[in-house]
Amino acid sequence: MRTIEVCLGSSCFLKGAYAVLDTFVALQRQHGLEDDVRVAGAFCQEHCREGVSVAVDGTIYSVPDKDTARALFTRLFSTESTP
Amino acid sequence: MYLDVQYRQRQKAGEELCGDSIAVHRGDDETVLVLADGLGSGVKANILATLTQKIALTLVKAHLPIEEVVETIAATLPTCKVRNLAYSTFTIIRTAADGATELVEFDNPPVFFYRDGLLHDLPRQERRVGALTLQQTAFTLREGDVLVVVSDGVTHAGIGGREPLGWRWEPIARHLEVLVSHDLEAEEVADNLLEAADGLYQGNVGDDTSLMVIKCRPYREVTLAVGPPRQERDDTVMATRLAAADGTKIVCGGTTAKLIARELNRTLEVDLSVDARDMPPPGKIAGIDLVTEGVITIMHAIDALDAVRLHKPRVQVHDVHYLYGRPAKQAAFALARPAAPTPENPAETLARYLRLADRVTLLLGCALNPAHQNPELPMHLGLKFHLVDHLAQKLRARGKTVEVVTYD
Repeated sequence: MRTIEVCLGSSCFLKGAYAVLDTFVALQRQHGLEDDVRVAGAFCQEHCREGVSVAVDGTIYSVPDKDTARALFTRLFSTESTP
Repeated sequence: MYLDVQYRQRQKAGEELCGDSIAVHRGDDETVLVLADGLGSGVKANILATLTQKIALTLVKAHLPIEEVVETIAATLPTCKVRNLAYSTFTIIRTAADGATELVEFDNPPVFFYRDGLLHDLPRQERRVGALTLQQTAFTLREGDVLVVVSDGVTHAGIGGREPLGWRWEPIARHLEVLVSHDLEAEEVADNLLEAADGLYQGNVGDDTSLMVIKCRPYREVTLAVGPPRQERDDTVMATRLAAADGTKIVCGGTTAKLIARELNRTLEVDLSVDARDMPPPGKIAGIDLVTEGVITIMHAIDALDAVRLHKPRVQVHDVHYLYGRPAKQAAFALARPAAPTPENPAETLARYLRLADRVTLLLGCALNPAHQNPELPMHLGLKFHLVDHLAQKLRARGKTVEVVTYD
């Protein structure tokens, strides 16, 4: 199973981490990927300067807003969503 | 065993000073408590009561025999020109570390004593010192015991208004028994008692009103780790100290939580089941009672400290006849249990642990998070140290012992 972990530490929280988390959860449902992708919160991933930090399968991405979250999801997951 | 001592005071309506004086002294091997009630009210009463309280405390602390304490008080108090009297009633309690207790009472309402939730008589012996007649008793306090000391402003509450004789000792004793038998915190008993007295006075406090609630219960300790140490070698020191601590263990801060989990060889999980969107979520580490984010949660916890519910019932009196020990027309009182309809957020949980603690040890790591120095952030997270300072101050103001251990 692939994972998306959204940092909810102090710095990322202040930069809107919950909005990013909600976006990923919505996209996961929209694409019916509940069984294939695990979306979770995480503590500080030590990339505070580039927040919101999101780890996809262990690789850290900087996802400052919802649009970036959507673009990242499309790039990394959308091919799998259409069987 | 720990003596949780909580007191409340109201001065007589129209006065600026309370004519009662209370002292709480905690020494290494004893606790001394004094409640003195000066004759009259206002400045004069306040001076009499304060003098009495200070002399009593100083001499009892010096282990002088009670005769000398009382003689000194009698010889020192200035004589009131109006009444040609030098007078302050007092109650003195001295408890040793093993619970051995001496109680000396002079003309205050008798101390209320509860064991296993029930009112008990204390076998008092009359004793004359000079012109004064004292009541003296020695007994041993044990866990669960509750003592309540009041000035006559409490026993007289409502006098001349609703009730010619005031509240009186017996009905108060029964009301307190309800509170004590429900295992309320000392501060909850104190608040409930003061609220009832206020209600009987109907907004016009007729006499200086003081009360002191003493509850014997286990000592409560909280150890809280916040912030990673500046030197990496201190990580182990901090984690070991936290793991070995007695009582409640708390970790605040994501990086701190990671290092504690790593050092203790345990897993760290984010707990998204708590629906609190105005702060980062809590986490879970086996053996740690609470894991939260750092600065934001602590900031909210400081705000929540005063208002946080203690999860114990509060007694609401519906019918004042109940308070007077007369047949009540309706359900006399209700125990309103704050059943927590809204779940606590991590800051409220943190605030509750801290409110209930007697001693708080803050393990403060001094490493700086470079991201927190970013001026673009809506608040200055570099203020971690100020925040911890502020928290320590607020806890000390509540009478808690606070120790800050720094790792820099």
